[in-house]
Amino acid sequence: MPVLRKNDSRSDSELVDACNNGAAADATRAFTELYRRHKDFVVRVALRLSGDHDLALDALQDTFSYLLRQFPPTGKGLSLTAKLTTYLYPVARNTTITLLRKRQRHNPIGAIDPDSLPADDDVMATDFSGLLATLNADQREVVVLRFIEDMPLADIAAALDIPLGTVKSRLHKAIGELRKSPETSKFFDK
Amino acid sequence: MHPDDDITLPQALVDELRASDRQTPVLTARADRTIEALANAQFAGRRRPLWQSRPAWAAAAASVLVAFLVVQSQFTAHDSAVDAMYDVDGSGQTDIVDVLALARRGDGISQAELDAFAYRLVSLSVAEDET
Repeated sequence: MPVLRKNDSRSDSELVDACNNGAAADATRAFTELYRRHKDFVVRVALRLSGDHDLALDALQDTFSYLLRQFPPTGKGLSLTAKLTTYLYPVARNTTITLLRKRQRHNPIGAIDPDSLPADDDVMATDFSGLLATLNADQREVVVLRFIEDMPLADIAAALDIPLGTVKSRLHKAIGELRKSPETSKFFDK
Repeated sequence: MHPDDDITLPQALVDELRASDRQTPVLTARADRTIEALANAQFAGRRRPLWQSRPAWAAAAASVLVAFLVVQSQFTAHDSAVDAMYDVDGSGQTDIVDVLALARRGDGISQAELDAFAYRLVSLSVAEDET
């Protein structure tokens, strides 16, 4: 019977515990519930980076495959010290960039424009209708995580593996840019 | 918004950003089935701990208890070396409590091993009585 049909009322932390220690059926049920809860988040991350639905789906599977391998018997288990999205974000981000680069290698003269590939310091393909066009990639990333994904600052710091002060600094600078931008200054005047 | 964060954007701008980000992911059932299959494969080798498997646990405990009580009513002497080996609860004697303790511990012991332990208790008692 497909285990995706029923929702599970347990918290993410409890589900992770079940994946770490549960018997086969319960661990499978717990993992598929984690997948059901967070698959949209992972796809959004991949879509923003790539703008490609097919690649985003591949990134989704690779991201959750990576997560799955953290649990026994292939892994030592996962200790969840923050929200699962904080853990998933860098995995989804790096997985997507890896897939983009693989695609570039397999299509050397194909449809992929090498200039469209995100470098390590340029991680946002979506331009948000030009609203964030004046921000650099780092600033766009923290703005998206904070105001679109509604992640707390501490979680952003953990997800990006940067100090909290750096997150705040990037946000302050981003907001300063947005205040000056012709596209967005009107929102601050209201 | 999070009350501990004082860095904010105008809500209208946040709404615009969210609206512009609204790409609808096309998640296929195939993707879901793939993840489910991966999870099944990953966790397939895990066994349910005996104490969580109530029907099996109850049946095993009942059969062991009956067998042990029958034998105990006839034989009382146990080999001291074997007692020490199977004295799971450290009580100084090997008895049904040790069988239950071993089953509850669930550290990889199979139903067959549990049955063998119970049988060992019984056969030891019979052998000692015959000598």
